[in-house]
Amino acid sequence: MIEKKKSFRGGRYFRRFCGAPQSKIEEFPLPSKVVIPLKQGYGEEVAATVTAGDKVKAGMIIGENNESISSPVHASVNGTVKEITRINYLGQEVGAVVIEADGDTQWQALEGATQEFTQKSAQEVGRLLYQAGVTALGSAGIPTTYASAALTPDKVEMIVVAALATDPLAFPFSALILDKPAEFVKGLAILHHVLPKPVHVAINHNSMPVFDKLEEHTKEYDWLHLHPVKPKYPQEQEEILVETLTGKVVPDGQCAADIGVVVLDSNAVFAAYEAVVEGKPLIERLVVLGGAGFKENLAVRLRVGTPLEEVARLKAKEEEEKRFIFGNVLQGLAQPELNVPIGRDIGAVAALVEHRKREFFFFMRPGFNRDSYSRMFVSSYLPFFKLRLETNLHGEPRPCIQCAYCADVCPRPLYPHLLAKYSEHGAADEVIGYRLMACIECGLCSYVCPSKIPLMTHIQKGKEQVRKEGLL
Amino acid sequence: MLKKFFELQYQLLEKYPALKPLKPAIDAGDNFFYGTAEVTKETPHVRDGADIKRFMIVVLFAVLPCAFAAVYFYGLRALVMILVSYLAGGLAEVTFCIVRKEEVTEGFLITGILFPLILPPTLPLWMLAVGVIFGVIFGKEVFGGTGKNPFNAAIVSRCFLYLCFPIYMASTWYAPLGTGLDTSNFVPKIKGPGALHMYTLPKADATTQATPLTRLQAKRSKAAGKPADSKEYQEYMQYVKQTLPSLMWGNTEGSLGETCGILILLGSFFMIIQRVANWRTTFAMLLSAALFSFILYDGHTLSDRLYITLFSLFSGGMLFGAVFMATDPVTGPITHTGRYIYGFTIGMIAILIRRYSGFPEGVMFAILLMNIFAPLIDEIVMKLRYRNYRGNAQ
Repeated sequence: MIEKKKSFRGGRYFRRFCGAPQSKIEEFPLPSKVVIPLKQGYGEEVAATVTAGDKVKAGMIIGENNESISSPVHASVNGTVKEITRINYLGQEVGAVVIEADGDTQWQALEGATQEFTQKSAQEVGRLLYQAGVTALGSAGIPTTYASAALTPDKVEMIVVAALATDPLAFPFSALILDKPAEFVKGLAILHHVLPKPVHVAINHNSMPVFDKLEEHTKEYDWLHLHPVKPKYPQEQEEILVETLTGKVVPDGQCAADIGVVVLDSNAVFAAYEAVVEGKPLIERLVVLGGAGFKENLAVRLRVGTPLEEVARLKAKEEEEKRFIFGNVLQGLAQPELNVPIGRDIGAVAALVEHRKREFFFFMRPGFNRDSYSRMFVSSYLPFFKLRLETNLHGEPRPCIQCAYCADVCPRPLYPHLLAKYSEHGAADEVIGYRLMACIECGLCSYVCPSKIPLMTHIQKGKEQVRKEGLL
Repeated sequence: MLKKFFELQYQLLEKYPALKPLKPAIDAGDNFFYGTAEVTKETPHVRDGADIKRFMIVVLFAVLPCAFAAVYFYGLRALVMILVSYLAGGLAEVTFCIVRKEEVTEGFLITGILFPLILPPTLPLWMLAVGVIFGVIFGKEVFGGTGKNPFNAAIVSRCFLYLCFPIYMASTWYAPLGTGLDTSNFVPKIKGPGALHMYTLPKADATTQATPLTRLQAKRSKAAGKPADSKEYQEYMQYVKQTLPSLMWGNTEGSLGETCGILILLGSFFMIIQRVANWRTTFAMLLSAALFSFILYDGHTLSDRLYITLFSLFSGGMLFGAVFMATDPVTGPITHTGRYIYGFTIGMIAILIRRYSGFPEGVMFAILLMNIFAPLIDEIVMKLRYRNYRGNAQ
């Protein structure tokens, strides 16, 4: 059933940006080599089960560890293992398997995949999800009896699916759902079969056709709740989403898994469908290419482990200095080295142009295509131009003038200027009572600050200090 | 070409290391004309397009109509006063930045123009310079510079001058030249575009010693306790109704920038719509001023009281203080609820000072007083808001 929910306080709408992807999907050509990190998604690093020189098939498990909380890792192409090395992936040093592809696009299916998954037991379906690697998706994994997630299946209270994206370079996921509604609903039903709890789905309220289509398919499912939500950043972050949809507050410093909520996105639902009904392991995924550094902004379907340099070579503009970011532009990690792989837990790659030009009378210009929270530019009054998205700092760092823009946009809501001031000077323990640990690090406070103070960095340092000192 | 000028300055800095202390001043000029080439170093990778210079320019644009009105009514001397204020205060500010080895911040752009607009038009220029230097040093720099001052620097300067030179500050006012925006029945004393073509107002024009507020005070005390049909009361109400239009349109005695109510309200609208000044402070202050003048000033009928309320709102520094002084982000509270409380108490204290004390002008003291309480208001609001979360951290 469809239930409207009130939006949260704070947050910001990001609309009309240059480089926002269109709702187009393309197949990316098979890469000549892939690098499969042994730690992708939720879970610990697994041990490789192949050695250099082995022949592997796409879909074959090449790394697994049945003792720890983890999900198996698969080869995404047919070919030969070149070497097993260590790489720096998403800020951590992990092992990786490098495979040279031989050009064959076939993949090996899992056994037991079927259309009639309701006939199988929850454990059977869970096995399929585990062996396909789908259990590594989501912020804390998908719980099965195979120790694949942060919580065990008996502790799960509900499943929440965020089928929308709200960052500046967001992909319209509702178009994806409109395209394949039956598969989406079957995916939800699969998840419900494994974890028989209520399922809440949040979709952008601007796409009403999606709701009508989904209603046709889900009339008899009383465990499924569809929620139209406003696409305000950061609605899809788990703490905010859980509170908006269900009213439950995630306690400060904890995550949704600690109160029994499994949070997934639409990719995980489609992947679950493919794993159980078609038997396809997680060897391919949709990656959104956003930002003005790419020639075209769309989503590509590529093999897990494709190196970033392949994507850059084929899709990025050559003449500008670019910054590649895994994740969204407000929270993601910059990748200065291009030989990193795109693993199965990376849903978006953004290429921003490094804008190092000094503009004449920068602060006096009318600003037809500049974005600002304060409505000081013409762009707020004449919404006809696309807004620039670049890495320029747009101003010199200045002391805090206590304008309270950061407090206006904080989604929790907190007072970031206060938390940052204390954290910067090493007094973070004094502001725990002001909910320092409730910060979800969405980046909005640093974004809107006119004094260009790195508020989020200071608050992160403060949280580190609190965790290290064990909450004095 | 301009770029070459700045490049030359930086080259001179390299050649003569003794000039290194002047770097903040050169940086200030350079950053004024050209945007920055820096890019973000950490997440988030993108930043808002607004910066502090833009913020201050918006406030400056909101004050400019009042500054033009000041020149129109009181002659070109008003312009000279603004220039002297910028030069003297700017010198003090840049000196402190050079000694501290920090960059010059843009806070002074606003104090520099707001300060002359709250002074009477005949103030000697040397007093103005002394006042502004005192305000910059003791109202801002001793506390750590822009962003760290608990008191509004312009109000500190004015208070200092008021107490040091009371004759010049409190009893030399001029009837302005020119009709301003009101063409109904005000007969101009001298033909021409107001006072734009003269430096000072002619000496032949009598130096009056009263502003509308002081006159109101005199008439009200004579009419106190008298019934509605007595001559003193009629005189009192007639004065109120007659002066009301000139308070709004600006052709009345007062400080340089405080007279034209309509222009101040326009400036306020300009700032509020761009989220530069918070509407809560202005609204709460004007609301409480209206409420308390309605209650405390005597009038025999409802409409009389309403006229008196309007008079009270538009006279003296009430509007100017509500729009430009109280909304200064650095000295006010940071929580929204706190801003309501802050504005409300300023209005209340200003009206109480006007009504019951010997000073005819209460806004300046009210703002200074509440500046002291702003952090306390914030702390109370935040502690109340987070009362359920104390000790809830895991």
